[in-house]
Amino acid sequence: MKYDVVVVGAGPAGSSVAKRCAQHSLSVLVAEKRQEVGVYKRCGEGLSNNAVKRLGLKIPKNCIRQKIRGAHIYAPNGKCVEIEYKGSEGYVLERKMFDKWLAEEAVRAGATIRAKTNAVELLKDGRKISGILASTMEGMESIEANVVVAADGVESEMARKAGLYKAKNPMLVDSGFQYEMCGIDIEPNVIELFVGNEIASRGYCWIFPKGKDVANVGVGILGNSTQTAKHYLDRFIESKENLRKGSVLEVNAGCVPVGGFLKNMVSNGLVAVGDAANQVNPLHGGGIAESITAGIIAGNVIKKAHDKRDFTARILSEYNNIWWKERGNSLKKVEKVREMFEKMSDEKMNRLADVLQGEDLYDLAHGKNIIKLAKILVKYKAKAFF
Amino acid sequence: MLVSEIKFMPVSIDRKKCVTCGGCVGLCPANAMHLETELKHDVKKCTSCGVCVRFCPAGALELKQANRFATNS
Repeated sequence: MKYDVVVVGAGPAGSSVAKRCAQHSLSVLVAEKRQEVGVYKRCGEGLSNNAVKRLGLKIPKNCIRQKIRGAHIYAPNGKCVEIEYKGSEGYVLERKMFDKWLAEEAVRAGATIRAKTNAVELLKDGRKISGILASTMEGMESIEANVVVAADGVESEMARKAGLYKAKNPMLVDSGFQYEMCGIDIEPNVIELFVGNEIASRGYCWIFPKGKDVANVGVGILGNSTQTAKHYLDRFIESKENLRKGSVLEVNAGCVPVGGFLKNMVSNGLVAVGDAANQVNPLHGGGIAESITAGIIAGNVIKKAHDKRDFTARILSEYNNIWWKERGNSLKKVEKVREMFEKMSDEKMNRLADVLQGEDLYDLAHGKNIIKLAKILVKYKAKAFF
Repeated sequence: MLVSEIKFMPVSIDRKKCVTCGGCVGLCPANAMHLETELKHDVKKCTSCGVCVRFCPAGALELKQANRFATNS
């Protein structure tokens, strides 16, 4: 059977594209490699309320494990900068439920999802991509489509096979390792972040609470550090009295793109979204909101291409323009901030923690008010820090 | 055994440590990694560059001496 759109991967990006295309009454198939949607997670599961509002998500209660009212960021010397989320809150999700809910929404809009359907190759018709070759439980199967959406996450095999890029740049990915822990002593409605090169080389350790005594405890470090992420996390947990006695319910690991946004995310008959197109906030490494945003934009552009019956890169490149205008340019600024932080020594971070307020850090993470912050830094002669 | 065979050190996967996160798949410049239900590694494509080894969050990858004509793991 031929579809209008075939989506590779049923994560937040894939399900959002599928839902939006189905709402535009296109026929959509989502091919999910794993045997269950939403498993296993490669995520700290945090989502800010700002993103939820911006995207108009009505997340069902069973997808939310914990509401968050603020964040505590610890400098290397232990000094804490507190951020209160004024008037809004954050969430720690249960990704298994959340991804399934997004997939259900796509199906309800009219899309078809098939689990245990692994896209192994792109089908080509001349210079245009015309579908995927998938390994299914029944054997190999050719699935034809006008547009292939590469939402296959960090592996990004489809996007790379289409020639968008060769491989992810090891300098622009973080290596993440996380335990879901139970039986630990934490503050249930505050996320805690620990920065410092000693604690996590060019990254941070996090505690995202999922209840009174359950939390995602993880670390993200520079992809080519000499020690493994697991090593940093084990050492971090060992150093914390309140975590040491906890049990590990789940072991997660993953690779987080932290920059390297693609100027071009389309090819003839193919659009890349989500982690496959490096659409992640480069400072905190959150990708759910970015994936959904990109998915909606891509869905709208595919509908336009469908109306024109033209699926060449020229028409699909409108997705590049809209994404860069809406998200790319501000994320690029955030990437600059990350580059600045990554050059800082622990001592400089300690001094910065004395100067900056909680709200300033919040702005930095969202690429807002950079000029105002620069003024603050100059006022405190912070130039000497960098 | 030829000298070139001795020098060839493809990646070997420690299945006890691998958590199938797929990070190495996206990083591999030679497209030698592939993730199905478990991680597949194509020894024939591997260039022993070691990017995946340094990256692997779980420390499950290692460059090990092997026969170039070994079967895929």
